[in-house]
Amino acid sequence: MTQTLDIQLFYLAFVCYFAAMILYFISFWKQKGIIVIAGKMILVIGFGLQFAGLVIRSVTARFMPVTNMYESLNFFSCAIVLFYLIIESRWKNRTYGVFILPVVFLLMAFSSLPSTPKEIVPLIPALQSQWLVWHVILAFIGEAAFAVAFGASIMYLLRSRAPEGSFVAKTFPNLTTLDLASYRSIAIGFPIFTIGALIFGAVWGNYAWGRYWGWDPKETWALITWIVYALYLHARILYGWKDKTAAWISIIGFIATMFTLFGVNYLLSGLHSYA
Amino acid sequence: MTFSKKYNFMSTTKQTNNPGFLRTLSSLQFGIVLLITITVVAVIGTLIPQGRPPEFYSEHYNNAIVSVITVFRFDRTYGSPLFIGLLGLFGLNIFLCSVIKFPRLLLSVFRPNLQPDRQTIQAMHISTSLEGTTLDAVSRVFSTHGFTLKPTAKNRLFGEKGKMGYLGASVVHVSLLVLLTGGMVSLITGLRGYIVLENGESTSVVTMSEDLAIPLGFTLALEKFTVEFYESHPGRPKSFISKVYVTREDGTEFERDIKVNHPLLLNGFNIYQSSYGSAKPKGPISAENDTAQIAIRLKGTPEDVPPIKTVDMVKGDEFLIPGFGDSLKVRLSDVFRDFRRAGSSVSIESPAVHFDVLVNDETRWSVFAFKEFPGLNMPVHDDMDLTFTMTGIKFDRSAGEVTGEPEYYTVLGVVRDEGIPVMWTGALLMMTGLFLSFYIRPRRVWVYDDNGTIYIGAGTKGDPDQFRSFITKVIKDTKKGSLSENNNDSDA
Repeated sequence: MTQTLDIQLFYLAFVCYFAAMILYFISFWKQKGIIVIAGKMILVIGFGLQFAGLVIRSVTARFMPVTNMYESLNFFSCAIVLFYLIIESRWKNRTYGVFILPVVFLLMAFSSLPSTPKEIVPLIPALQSQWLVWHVILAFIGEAAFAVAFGASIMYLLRSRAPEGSFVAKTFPNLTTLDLASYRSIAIGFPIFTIGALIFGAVWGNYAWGRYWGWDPKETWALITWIVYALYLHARILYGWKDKTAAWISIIGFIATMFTLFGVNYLLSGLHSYA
Repeated sequence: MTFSKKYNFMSTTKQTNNPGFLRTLSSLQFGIVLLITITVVAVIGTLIPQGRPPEFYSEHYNNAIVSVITVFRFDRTYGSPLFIGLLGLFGLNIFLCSVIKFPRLLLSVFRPNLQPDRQTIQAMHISTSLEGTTLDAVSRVFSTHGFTLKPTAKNRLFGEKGKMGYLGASVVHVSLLVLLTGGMVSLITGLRGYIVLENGESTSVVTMSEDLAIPLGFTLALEKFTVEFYESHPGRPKSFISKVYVTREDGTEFERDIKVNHPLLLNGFNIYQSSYGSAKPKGPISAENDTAQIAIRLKGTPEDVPPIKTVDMVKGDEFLIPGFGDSLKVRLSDVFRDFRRAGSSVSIESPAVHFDVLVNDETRWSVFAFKEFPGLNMPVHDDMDLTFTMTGIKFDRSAGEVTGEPEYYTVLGVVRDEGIPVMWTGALLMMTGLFLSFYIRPRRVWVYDDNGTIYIGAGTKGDPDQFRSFITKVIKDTKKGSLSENNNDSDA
């Protein structure tokens, strides 16, 4: 079956990310120049392809492609890679990639499943809204930052358990840096997520359905995600939690994020569907 | 150099000594416990289907869970006394914990303590002391690093950047209180109802509940409701449009299209396109002389092979199928100009026929065929060797208007909710607060010359490490007494 160009680019980017992930894994163990450079280059190429695919799809469809699961995950993974590339160049450490790229890989693997429809379908009336577009885009940019924080928090937990002189202790950034990486990502993502997921979502809901909040599972879980990160920020500032507890809250926050994205669609609807 | 671990961004901190109960209510710990509880209850609400009748719960859950659901009202979790109570407590907690301190915070932001004593400076988050230098020298070094210090007394300097950032968190907390208030206002005063109009109908009241109909203050007349479908994707709606005429009480009128995502806001009512339905039939279901064209094929013959016979029939006609002697006949038992009217949910106009296949004059099979949706032709009998497709229909116009275009009625949702402006105010406040809190980094520096010893104290908010290393660098430069051109780094 022939695919449209944007979908072909998506698959190419997927392949690139997979290759980059493998190269990051390898260079994690053996810091050889060529593997390091190749990994980074393939990652950047993958990002370029994916971004081009998004642009082409936007132009073809004449709307921002964030209106179904495939489009959303495509945008989301692209945002995570962009965030990661910024972090890698700012913090000069590639170890983060080893933990963040698998998240990207899994998201894209999911959206590449044949059961996830990919073709461009025109928008039903409820989706024809700029508020929806910015709602989704900002929510995912915020969540991309949460994904980066998640990777850093996993690393924090591993690093905190590693004995001095071990491989992990030698290759990972120190605990303070890892904590800061997680904190700064959340500090960047939290306001964007709040505005996108909650506030713009409410505005859109009010325009489309005459209600700004309806406690449907998706809304409720977005709020739960928000509360978890609010707890993270408060615990950190007011109790000085910059330790494993903070890392765990960040991980729980990302699990809540993923549950809002997938669980509500696939698990809760299952729970609700028996009636 | 000493860096106190105490969190302190202002010159003074006062501990409130409230009595026990109030202290608990206003504590951050209580706030966190509340948030966790709210989260748990909210999660329960997403796991248990909401708003079902009692029988539903007794059918799906065991007795113990049903009684828990009944006691805590987990069948309508988010409107339950438990949940509203938790939100109320949370609002109170935010108020006592943060909002109540807002005036004092404003004062300390706009009127900082410019005369901190030595102990206060030493208790600051970042503090140090220097010997053998002067205020002038300190001021110069700070200014080469892009941080201006101004004298506030003959032995004192003070400088600040991004002071609005101190307000961020409190503005967010105030906004939460505004949002909770807005939610409560919606809950108490919010009214929602529906207006159902067929083309040409009008109304000036809206029914909000069984015993509450309120005047709109204007008349809403539906000129026409239309559903547009995408040509490229049959059956996929492109727009739902209610074209309405609004006549105000003063007689002025205007025309508007109410579309999904484009509600009409008037007199405090939010009128949005909610739903639609097909209206009662205006024309006949079918007329005696409506003629249907039926194509008869052997089962398994492709569509492009000419049929055994294409035959025009009116209701009641019988037709002898060639090739089967005189044993096999088809009789047209019903014609539907638009099958939806017979109760189908097919969303576009769909003529259909119902006929019987007779073997030796006895009905053996009974079959439907749809002109627009041959895929729905049913049932397919395994032992029937023929297929019947409906290929055309001619309406008998003398019998009544042909319903060429589907007739719909529109369902307009109507909301009157005083909480909405409060919510938007809260949302704007929250965006402002988040911006101030996360993207504006406030920094303050106090310098105090206490008989030759220079005390430097600095405060920031949130993450102090960057500012601490900035201050460390500045102090190192001051100690060196020489200014390096390469160190002109104003990035704090």
